[in-house]
Amino acid sequence: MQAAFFGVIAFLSILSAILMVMNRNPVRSALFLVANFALLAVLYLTLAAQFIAAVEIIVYAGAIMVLFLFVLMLLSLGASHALRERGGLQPLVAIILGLIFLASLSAAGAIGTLGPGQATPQWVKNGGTVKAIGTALFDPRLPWLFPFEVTSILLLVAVVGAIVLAKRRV
Amino acid sequence: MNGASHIASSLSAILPILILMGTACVALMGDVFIWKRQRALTGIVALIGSVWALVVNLQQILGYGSSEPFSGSLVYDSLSQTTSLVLLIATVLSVLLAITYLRNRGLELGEYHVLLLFSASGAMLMGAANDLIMLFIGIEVLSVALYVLAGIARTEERSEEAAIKYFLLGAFASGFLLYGIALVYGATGTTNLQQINHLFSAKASITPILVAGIGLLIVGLGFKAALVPFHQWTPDVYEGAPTSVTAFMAAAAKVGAFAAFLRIMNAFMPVQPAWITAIQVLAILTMVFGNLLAVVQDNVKRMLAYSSIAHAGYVLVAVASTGMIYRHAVLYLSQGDRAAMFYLLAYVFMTVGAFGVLVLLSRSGKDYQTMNDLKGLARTHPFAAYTMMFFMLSLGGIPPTMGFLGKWLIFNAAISAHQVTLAIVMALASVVGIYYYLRVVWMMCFQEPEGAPATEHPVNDWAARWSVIVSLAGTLMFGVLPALLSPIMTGLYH
Amino acid sequence: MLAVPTEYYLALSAILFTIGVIGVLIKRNPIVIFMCIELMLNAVNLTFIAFGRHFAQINGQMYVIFVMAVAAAEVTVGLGIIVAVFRTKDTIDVDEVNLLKF
Repeated sequence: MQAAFFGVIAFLSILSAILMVMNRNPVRSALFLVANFALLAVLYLTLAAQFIAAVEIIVYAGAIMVLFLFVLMLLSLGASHALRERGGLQPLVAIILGLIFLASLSAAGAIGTLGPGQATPQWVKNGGTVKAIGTALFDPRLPWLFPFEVTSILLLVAVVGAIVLAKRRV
Repeated sequence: MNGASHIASSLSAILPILILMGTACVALMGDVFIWKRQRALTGIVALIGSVWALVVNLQQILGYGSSEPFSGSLVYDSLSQTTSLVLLIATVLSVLLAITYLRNRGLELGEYHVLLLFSASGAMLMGAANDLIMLFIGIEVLSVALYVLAGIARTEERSEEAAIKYFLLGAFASGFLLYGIALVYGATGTTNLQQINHLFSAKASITPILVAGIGLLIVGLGFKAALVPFHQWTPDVYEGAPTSVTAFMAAAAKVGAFAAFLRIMNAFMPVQPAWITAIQVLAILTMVFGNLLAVVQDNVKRMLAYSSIAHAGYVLVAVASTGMIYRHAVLYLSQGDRAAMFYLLAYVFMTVGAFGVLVLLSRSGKDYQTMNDLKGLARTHPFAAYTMMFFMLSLGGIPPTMGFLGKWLIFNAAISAHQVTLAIVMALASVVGIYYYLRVVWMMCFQEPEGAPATEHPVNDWAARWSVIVSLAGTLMFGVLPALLSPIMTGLYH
Repeated sequence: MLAVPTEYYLALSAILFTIGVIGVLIKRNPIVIFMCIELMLNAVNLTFIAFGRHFAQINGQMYVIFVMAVAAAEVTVGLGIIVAVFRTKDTIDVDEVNLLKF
């Protein structure tokens, strides 16, 4: 039952990813990407990551993709501006390179000596709740506090940078 | 140790980074209140902050401490301190260059210095990272600020193109790096570099997933350090970005990336067979193609870009001969690490100096770009020409400069680590390198200037002059008397 | 207990990552290239979470939080750069962003 459910979601997410790449209209690509993120959020739920699943929808499908669509609309780069894709050998080369990459990765993963999973039912129930994430993130005995603080610097840099780039000529 | 005192000691360990970040915040807020004519003030604030951080960093190095701040997210040892030193020197020199360059080009934005300081602090975090995710965040702080800096000349097409190219390839590389981190996490169950080292020291098991993870880490960092075949973005970005940004980018991004290389490869030392071949092949490709492609360039900035690729290859030889040594629970750096750090310091002086000369020559609306622009420079701009000559000699590795000594140290380290092939390729590649560096000297000193000399307004360029003078002093002084560095790089000279 | 083994999730994430890589290599529109990079990052997130459950550690989910923050920062700056390019060139048809140039 669970395996069948995983199979359906996995198939749909691969399909939406392929459609995103194949589509010539960037707005449609963006919508397929939103669908892909939503499907990934479902997979996170099956992996006992409830909080991350919610954040995936809110941050990725919500904030980030809206920003993408906003820029597409702002620059009016919809269907009329669908760019001619590269012809000739390049897509072929890219796909062959990609398949080689995938083959080497899956070879690495398949032979990988992962061993049995260590998740207990108790962990699956409590592992990814807001409480578990929050206490781990802000515990000074764990190594997450400092990277979290540095993330604020990163966001500050991004804000300053976006304003520098986008503000009118001085 | 209780929580509060741990946090206090952690904060004091990363004081130089905090000073940089704090100065950036002060400059960001202060810039709002400054009149437009006095915009250089922000640069002065940034200069004071980075010199202060440099002084604190020197005190820390002379204090010989080592600890693991913030519950193991960072590590504070001779490698991280020396990386910070090299980066802070690069920051001070770049801020000086920027003060002149921004005025010459009419780009006086206070945010420039803010982003530069944040970027430097990100690179310092990379050198101090003890956890792969911390390393990743450090890289992102460094790169995000650099993407913006590359495009800071908003009215210039080339600057914007450089920014978008750098951004897309940088983000692409981040994806590979992150996948590498994920696979390493899967292979080991942790991302803490020290734990990884202990784990493999106890039992060196090379699984395919680990090899794939390390491979992707090398690809991701290879993009950031501009190794062949991940170098294609470098010449275009170096050429398109404003020259003062290029100077900083060439110095800080490369030092940060190699600090990360040294950290990661030392952590994976027990499983050296899993990665040594990849590093060797990359080093050979980078040295050979970097030098060969530099020969055919006609644009000085592009030539310097390929030369910086070639120099990355030399440092990679040192990475291939690395291996930290723990003795009485104190970390000593191996010969390879020492050579790498010495060479990076030399590289910072030479590269920032060479780009600094180009900054000195920049006038409003025009950069010196092609080899023809340099013709007869010795007659028109003697100071610029003769300092440039020394930087070229040092980049080419001619004694008695720091560039020669650095190459010599790396060569020795490679020989004693039994990397004989790498050492030989390095020697041959350096010989090719001498050709194009001497070509610049020849153009400047033995050619007539082309066209009528442009009437130039005398400009106040004290800042860039000081930057070039300090770089020149460093290149020559430490080339003749490397022992001067020994009290500073103690960890490196044991 | 686990009906779906970790390896399946890893395979799915490898496939999604590869689709993202191929997209980056063949597309010309920088915004779409950037979307493909986002797809790559999400594929990595799936790997992190799958490994996190495999080891019964919270670490995997922690990494994802940081990756999301980084992605948000990159998007802000990246779209800012794209808008700036559009302003100077009146198009974002950047042939120079040719990633397979030899």
